[in-house]
Amino acid sequence: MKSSSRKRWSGIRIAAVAACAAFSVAAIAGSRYGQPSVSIAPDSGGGGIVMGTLGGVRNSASTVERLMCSITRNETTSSAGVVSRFTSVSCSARDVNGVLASCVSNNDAHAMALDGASNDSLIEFHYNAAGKCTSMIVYESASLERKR
Amino acid sequence: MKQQKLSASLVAVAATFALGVFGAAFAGSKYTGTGNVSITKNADGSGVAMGYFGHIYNGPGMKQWIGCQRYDNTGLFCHARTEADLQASCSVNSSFLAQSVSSISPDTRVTFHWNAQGVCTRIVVVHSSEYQDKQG
Repeated sequence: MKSSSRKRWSGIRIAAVAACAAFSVAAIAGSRYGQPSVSIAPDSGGGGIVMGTLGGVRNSASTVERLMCSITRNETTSSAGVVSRFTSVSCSARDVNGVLASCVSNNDAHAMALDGASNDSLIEFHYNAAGKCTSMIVYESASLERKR
Repeated sequence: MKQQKLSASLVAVAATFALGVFGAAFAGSKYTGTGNVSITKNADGSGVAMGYFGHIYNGPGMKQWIGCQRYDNTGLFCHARTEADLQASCSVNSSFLAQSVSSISPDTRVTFHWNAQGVCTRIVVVHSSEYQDKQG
């Protein structure tokens, strides 16, 4: 229930992105959107939601903001031919006030979501009180601001 | 009078929005290293290579490169070269590791590890607002 509620909110936020992009059509050539800051929204349970665009954060006026995600895949084969694999995802963000949020995950689905990330993606990750990533969303759009 | 106030409000809203869209001075936190390709080779033949795509592309170096390719048969190949002409490469038949190529974009930091047999064992792809995008 909580999860589906969060997904609904994600949909609303992404719809808001699209709405802002549409609004900007009149002002510039081609609709563009770059949320200027990383937003970190903690919840009462110690978890929270982080959202930002790689381009918007890089180009922001703040010198402390950042947003990053790392995807690690490891595979080794023993002399007996036994293959062992692990996936590791790590995401972190720092907002304009210096507030930090981060999470880690060994969930393949989170890594697969980040496989869709590019140089101008909007990345949203949800985390729980234990610092585990609970949801990973990558949004791509023609309107997302590119890095400068 | 009412119309003037409305116009001023609209201008303020538009200015705020434009600032939000374009940023004030493109000053978000930045990675300040060179981003150059680095290769470390161990005595047993294993090693690790790392490089920042955007920084390498935009930088003054003329020799270095780093890249990975995946094949339609689950194969993966990665290679790198430093400005000092040190080279390294690895390959593996693993759809699991090859999947990582899908995550590489023009602004990523890529690290690959190989074992003593030259088999790729680990790939790390990092997306960050702090890394340069390719320019020009």
